[in-house]
Amino acid sequence: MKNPYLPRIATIFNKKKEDDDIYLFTLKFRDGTLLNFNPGQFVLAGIPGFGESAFDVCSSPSDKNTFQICVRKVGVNTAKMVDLKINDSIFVRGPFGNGFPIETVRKKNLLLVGGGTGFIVIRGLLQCFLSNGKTSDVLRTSDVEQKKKIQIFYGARDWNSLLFRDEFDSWGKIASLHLILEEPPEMPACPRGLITKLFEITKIIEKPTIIMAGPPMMYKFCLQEIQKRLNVPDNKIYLSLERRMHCGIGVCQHCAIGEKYVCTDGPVFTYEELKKIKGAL
Amino acid sequence: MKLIFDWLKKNNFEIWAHAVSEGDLRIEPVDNFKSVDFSAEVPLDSWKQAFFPSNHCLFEFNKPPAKKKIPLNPLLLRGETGGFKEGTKRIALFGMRIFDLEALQLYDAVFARDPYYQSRRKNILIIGFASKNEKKDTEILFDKTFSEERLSSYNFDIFWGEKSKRYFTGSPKGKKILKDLKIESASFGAGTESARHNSASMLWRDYLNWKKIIDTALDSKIWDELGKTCLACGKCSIACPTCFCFDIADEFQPPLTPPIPTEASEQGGVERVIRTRCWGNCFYQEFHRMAINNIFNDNIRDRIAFWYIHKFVRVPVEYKLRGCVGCERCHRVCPVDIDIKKNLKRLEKSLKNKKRP
Ligand code: SF4
Ligand code: SF4
Ligand code: FES
Repeated sequence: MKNPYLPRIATIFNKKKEDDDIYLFTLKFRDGTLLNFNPGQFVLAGIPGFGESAFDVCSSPSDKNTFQICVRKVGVNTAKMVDLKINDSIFVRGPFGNGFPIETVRKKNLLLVGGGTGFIVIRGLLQCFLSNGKTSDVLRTSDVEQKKKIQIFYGARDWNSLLFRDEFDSWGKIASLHLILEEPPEMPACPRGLITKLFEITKIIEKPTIIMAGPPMMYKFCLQEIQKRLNVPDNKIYLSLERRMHCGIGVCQHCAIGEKYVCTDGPVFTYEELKKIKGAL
Repeated sequence: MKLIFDWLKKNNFEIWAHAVSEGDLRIEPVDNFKSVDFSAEVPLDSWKQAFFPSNHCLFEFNKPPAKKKIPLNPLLLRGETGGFKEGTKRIALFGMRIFDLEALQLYDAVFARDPYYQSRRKNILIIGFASKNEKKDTEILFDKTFSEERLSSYNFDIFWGEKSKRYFTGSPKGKKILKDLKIESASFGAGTESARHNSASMLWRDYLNWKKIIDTALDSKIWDELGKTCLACGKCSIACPTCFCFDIADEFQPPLTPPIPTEASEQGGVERVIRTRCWGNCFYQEFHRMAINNIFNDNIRDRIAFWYIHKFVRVPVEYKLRGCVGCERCHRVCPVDIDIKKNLKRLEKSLKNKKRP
């Protein structure tokens, strides 16, 4: 019988600072095994003695040999993790969860909405779209070239708290990026405000499928904007949820919402599913 | 039953049974047949400790040998697979009542693919028992009486019905023991198919009714009231035979004293880390903690509702089994007299009243 609690040892292949206390780790399993994940799926990772935390995998599935997670210092385990150096080990279980329905969304006009560290999930999706797609489960660049109808809304506190800044240019190849900051710098010019304002000031692509990732507050207000301004059916709005995870396999109940589990039924849900569940958002 | 008890002793089983301990009826390991309680009383605790210990080791991370020079991070999984010790102790649960067999059925389903549970479970022998003094409850959910029809859905080895004076066997193991002891076993299989179906579907229909009530009554004021009364002590969930939530937590050996060193290389004193699994309690705020200052269900009202939703919605949806077997232990251990039977009835009534214009 397979032991679902047993982690694999991953070596830190690369570590890059994204912001104070936020680092992008590139990992590789020491035993040569691969992660084989879908964008939107997560892993449970940590250091012995400090438990495990959930991280969205944010690299492209077509990069088979390594995978990336973005770690923000929010608790004991993550505080330990951000202190690690290249070649140190992290213990990883997974992948878990459903991930995005890539086959469905690749054919659609997409509006990707990410707030704060929620953007990590969106970055995974973009990496997937950008990769040259040697595998069939990845969107081929040519598809994107043809339609070029991806819009990105990215809201953050200030310029420095925008993650993946050095990738903005490459995203421009397949999407139009709309930034908004609570405290924008003088240069480059950027609108000031909360992410909801982007719905007001941007011409949104036609018939979008919307994918959102961010804090519950952001969901609440963005959903209001969407209902007010756009005519998008609830089953075409996808949201990625965050909860505390212990088992990752739908048993321990830590991540339960209503009759669903974020770890197995999610973390990606449609708004149609979530609106029925009290307290989910 | 005495014959079976002696057989179990002779064969070195650790025998757990209902027994009076410090004035309360409990479930615990017993040494002699005389201390076993055969009344129709329900003990204050459940059997789950036997097949799902309140705290057990999943595996250890050991320090690798110094010469291996694994960079910085000093801890490694023990062994190639980090394997766990298979349970070798044989345990007999002697005198499980019918509703506790139903709770065991749920555990068997929930942990069907859990290697730790399964390795323990396969060394556990189930000897069921129904007292002749059982009384029927008018409420289907809380009826704890034995019936042959119910028996056929549950997992057990031997069952003794005191009223009908009949032994039943539910496994080849059980059959063999009775054969060895020259005890005759009655069959409960043939001819009762439709009766069995009826009784199972009656329980299930009744349960789905409660599911619907919980589903629709989530806005009821009754929850606010419960949230104010409940102390979030968690006793109910500890006593409940179907509660199976757990936490996964790490322990240092020897224990680290704060401040915990930040550099992995400074954890020199640590010999090993034990990853444990222990009973979780959804009444505690910690259970719902996401990060340092982020907690879901951050009030007792929502946590009580979470408990009911688990039992009456999530479990039946996922396993097609009842998440509450009606033993009423939760009520009996509650320091502020929160009564599940009364609560369900009140929720039902509040819905009926709401429907009326
Ligand atoms: S009556 Fe209470 S203790 Fe017994 S199974 Fe139901 S919820 Fe658990
Ligand atoms: S035993 Fe009673 S007071 Fe304690 S958590 Fe349960 S319902 Fe609340
Ligand atoms: S993390 Fe355990 S049920 Fe989802």
